Amino acid sequence: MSANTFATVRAIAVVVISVFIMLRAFQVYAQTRSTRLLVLGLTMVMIVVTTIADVTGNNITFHLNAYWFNYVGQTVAFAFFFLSLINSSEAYLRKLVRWQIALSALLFILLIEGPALPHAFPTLGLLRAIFSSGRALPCFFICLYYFAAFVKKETRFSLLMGAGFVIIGLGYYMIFPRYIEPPSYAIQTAGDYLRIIGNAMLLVAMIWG
Amino acid sequence: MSRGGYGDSSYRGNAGKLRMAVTTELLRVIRDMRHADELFQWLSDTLVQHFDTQVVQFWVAQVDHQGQYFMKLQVLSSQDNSIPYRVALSKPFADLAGEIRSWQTELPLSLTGNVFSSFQASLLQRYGLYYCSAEYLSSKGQPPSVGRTTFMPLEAVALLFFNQSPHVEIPKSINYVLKLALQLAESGGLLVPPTDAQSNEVGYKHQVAQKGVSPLAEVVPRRTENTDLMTANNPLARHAIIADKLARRVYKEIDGRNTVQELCDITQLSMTEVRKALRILLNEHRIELFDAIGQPEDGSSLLDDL
Repeated sequence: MSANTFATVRAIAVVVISVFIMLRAFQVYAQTRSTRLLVLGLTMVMIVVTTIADVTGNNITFHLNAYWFNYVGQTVAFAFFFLSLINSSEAYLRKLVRWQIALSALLFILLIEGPALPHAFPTLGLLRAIFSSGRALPCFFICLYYFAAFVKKETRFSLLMGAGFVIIGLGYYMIFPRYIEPPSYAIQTAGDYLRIIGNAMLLVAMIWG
Repeated sequence: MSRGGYGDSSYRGNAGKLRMAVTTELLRVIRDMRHADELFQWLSDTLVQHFDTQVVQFWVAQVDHQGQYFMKLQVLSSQDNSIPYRVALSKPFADLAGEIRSWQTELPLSLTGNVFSSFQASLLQRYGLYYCSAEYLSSKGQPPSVGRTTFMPLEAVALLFFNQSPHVEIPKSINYVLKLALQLAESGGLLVPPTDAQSNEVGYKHQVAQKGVSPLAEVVPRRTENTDLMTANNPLARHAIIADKLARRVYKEIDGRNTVQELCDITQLSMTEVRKALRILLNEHRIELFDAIGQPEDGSSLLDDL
């Protein structure tokens, strides 16, 4: 299986898992009106949309240029999820949701305007590496938060979530050299493996945690 | 005393006349009074009716078993009966009255926003109470002696609320009337220690008048901040969902601002149904109950009250 085909498999796995978490989050949100669940649901929406856009961009003939949208969108989505964890006040969470919706909507401009953005962007090695691997940063923050929560109160949920996000973060982080060195498909595939495992772990946390 | 004798339109231009008329009426009615509570009631009604005062409260200093002073609301009158008594009887008023008593001074006319916390001020402003002032009243009392009536030293604070800045003569007239009333009460033998029965009968007239309103109706339920949700507890687990449909319906509408009565209106459920739902939510630690000014309420006793 080629690296690109495996990337598509990874994308499908991520989309399926994220859609499941998203639907469940919105279902429970409808019953409990817990704003934190809304943030989770919106985060998953963004992950699903960016991943689909990325896959579509890689597999169609016209130049979609969804890289900006993919990298920035996922970073912002994870950042909002992290921000939703650090404060439980209802007023704070409601404000956060408003910002998340506004920023996410703005990010769609990146997708729509993608073809008009610098075509050279994907070939800019270092910049692309920073944007791509930058997604690891909020994941590591989330992971640290969950490990702190686990130390405070040992629950299976926090352990699985912490482990899931550290693995996803590593998956993003390790593909950094891929954009600078001559394309290393082994690194890309390893990163994709890690992201599948990390997302599966999030799913397990949501079902079994 | 009718409003017609010194009506609203004339008193601004003729505060002296108004003061004179109220004084005359005071001298007339005080002869039939037997206790200071009756006087406070008359004063508060009069201030509300003729001095453009929206709410008048008389707080009287009392001493508890340990010798500590505390302020007890003796009388409350309000132009607007829609003001919830939980707002009008709230702790910040008692605290302010206590401070006025300890300073032994008056509070000049001030914006409620400058006197109360922003939350309390905005609550008062919702009911049109933008200005407030306070008068400190005290009588010296008399030590017990043979053949003489023992007068109780009395310290009281009148809290006055206005919806607009009153004419400059109005606070002066109020001050004059209150001081005169206290002197007359002292000389007329009204300042004898009140019995609980008297106090309850007269002093809490306002509360009695609103007895039909459930104490729960004015309570504001708030969702409990679940800091563990999503960090230590799985928010998507089955236990995260409220099993009871009724409780779930009420919980959806709880936003930390709606009172129980408003929740009944929004959900179109009866008070009994909402009470049942609140009981479930309380038992599951999903909500907490607060009074109108944000003080925690004992949920169990309130829910049992109905």
